[in-house]
Amino acid sequence: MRTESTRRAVTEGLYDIMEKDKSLVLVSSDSTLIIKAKDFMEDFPDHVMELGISEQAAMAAAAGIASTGMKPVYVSYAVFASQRACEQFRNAVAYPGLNVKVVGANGGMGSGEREGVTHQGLEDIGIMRAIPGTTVLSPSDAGQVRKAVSAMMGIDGPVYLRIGSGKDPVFWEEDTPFEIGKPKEFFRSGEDLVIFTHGFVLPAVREACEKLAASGVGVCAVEVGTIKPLNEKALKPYLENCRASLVVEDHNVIGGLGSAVCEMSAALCPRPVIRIGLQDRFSESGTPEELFAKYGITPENIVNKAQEALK
Amino acid sequence: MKGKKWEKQDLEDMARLLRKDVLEMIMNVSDGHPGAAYSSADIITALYFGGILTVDPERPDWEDRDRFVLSKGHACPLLYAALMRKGFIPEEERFTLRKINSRLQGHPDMAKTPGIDATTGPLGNGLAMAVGMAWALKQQKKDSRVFVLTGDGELQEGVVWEALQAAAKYRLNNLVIIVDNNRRQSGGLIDEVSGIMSLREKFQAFRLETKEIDGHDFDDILGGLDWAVACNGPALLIAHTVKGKGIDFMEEDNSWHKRVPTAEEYASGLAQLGGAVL
Ligand SMILES: [Mg+2]
Repeated sequence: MRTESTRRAVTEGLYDIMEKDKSLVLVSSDSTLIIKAKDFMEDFPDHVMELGISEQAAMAAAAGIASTGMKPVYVSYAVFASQRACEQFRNAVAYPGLNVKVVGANGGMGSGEREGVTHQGLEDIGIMRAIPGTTVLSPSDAGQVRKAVSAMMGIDGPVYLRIGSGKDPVFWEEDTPFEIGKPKEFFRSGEDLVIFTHGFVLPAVREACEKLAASGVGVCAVEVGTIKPLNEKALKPYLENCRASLVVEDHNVIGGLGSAVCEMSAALCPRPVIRIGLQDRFSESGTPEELFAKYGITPENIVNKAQEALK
Repeated sequence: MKGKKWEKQDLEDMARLLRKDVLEMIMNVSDGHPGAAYSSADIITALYFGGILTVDPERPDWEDRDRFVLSKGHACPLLYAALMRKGFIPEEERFTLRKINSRLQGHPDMAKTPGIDATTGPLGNGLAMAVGMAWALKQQKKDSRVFVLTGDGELQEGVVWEALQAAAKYRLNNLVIIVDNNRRQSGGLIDEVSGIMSLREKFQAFRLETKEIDGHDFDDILGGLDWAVACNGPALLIAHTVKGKGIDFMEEDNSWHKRVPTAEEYASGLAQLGGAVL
């Protein structure tokens, strides 16, 4: 499968922004290489604040920058942006509603570049989603990330954007839009089963859908790239029409999209919700293929879980 | 818009009035941190009424104003009193402190209160926010300066030293840091709780222009601030202060870090500050 870097896509998105809005600031805790931003730093040295390896100060400084009317984008790893600097994000950024965008790389175990658990964002979505007023985005390939960067700059308030390892599968046609709050259906053979998903596991979900459809199951798959606010209006009909739902994501099953769907289902339309992801345990080092195989994010496991759910 | 240049006696009178306001506010809501507010009282008075801060109560969000970040956010009743006497907040609003539906939160909230430039209180964060502000104002080629007042206890937070690194790296000459060095924190004397102070040596190692002042003497405070503003890089004042300064039974008694006076203490405190029980 063709891959393209969602990290470099962030820098390309920043270039797009700079064409029309010079209030952008890239805030770095020695993290510019994460998004391969060397050219951006050379082209716009006055638009980069580099604080060195200090995530907490970088997050709080981003709040200070935003308070003057500029638009900071703070880039780090998902695990450090959402956890080491969590309190600064919550109190200094989100509580006053400041216009700070946070980009977290290595979102999920498959995006972990063999670095292992310490550098994998496995709970980032659950943490950021729990903080009031925060928009949480998880686009699923490089083209989508480029568009998500533009889209998030249009929001006046805190946004968390989850990206990958830099070797991320290309899933969508290049001209596919990324609209905040708008789910995208990408497979349909029927409606007995609905699969909600996000991030870099979409290829596995599509493969599972093809297998299920071939065996006569009516299934549809929906990418939920905006995890918060969850577009309940658009998603509720899928629950109403299905017998069971599956959520597939590279995240702990506690806190992520799976939890968000359970919350929605319990409140609006009770249905079985089967969560496929990390089953409340830590992963390890390895290639994405090995990790997904060991921890159950495979087309085969999705098919098995789907068939069990429909029994 | 600069405030008019006040005489030393005027500033002392204002500081006494602000301390009295704080005592009444804390008494009214039966909650608050008088000791921490009183050690900062003269510094905040100098900033707002000594011709240092360029701010405009008519335009609290004026983009060319100077910024003030109260990193030791628990001292905010004193800041609210200053904003009230400066005209940012109506006087009658002060007794809403820490009450439901109030703009005067238990810790400063920039989104709710006119004149509050940063949401602070979580110790250590204010300095890093101020560094971001100072960097951004320089980037925008503005003349605005950023003043940040930190406690000495909160210097134990790692984020402070992360931020100081960046302040030094960018030579933020529009940043003035004032340390309210009352030598005490919630749990007691800093020397006993965390062990190591050595503030001057630490700051100098971080290449900050550093000067020590008496945090309760207006000549010293204003002289220090003038010096700090004129410095070529980020400047830091270590202000020697007394926790609870201004009411004799509160001074150096750390139980007043967070405590509400009895009726007798309240009457005595008010009398010392030139007021009377209403
Ligand atoms: Mg102290």
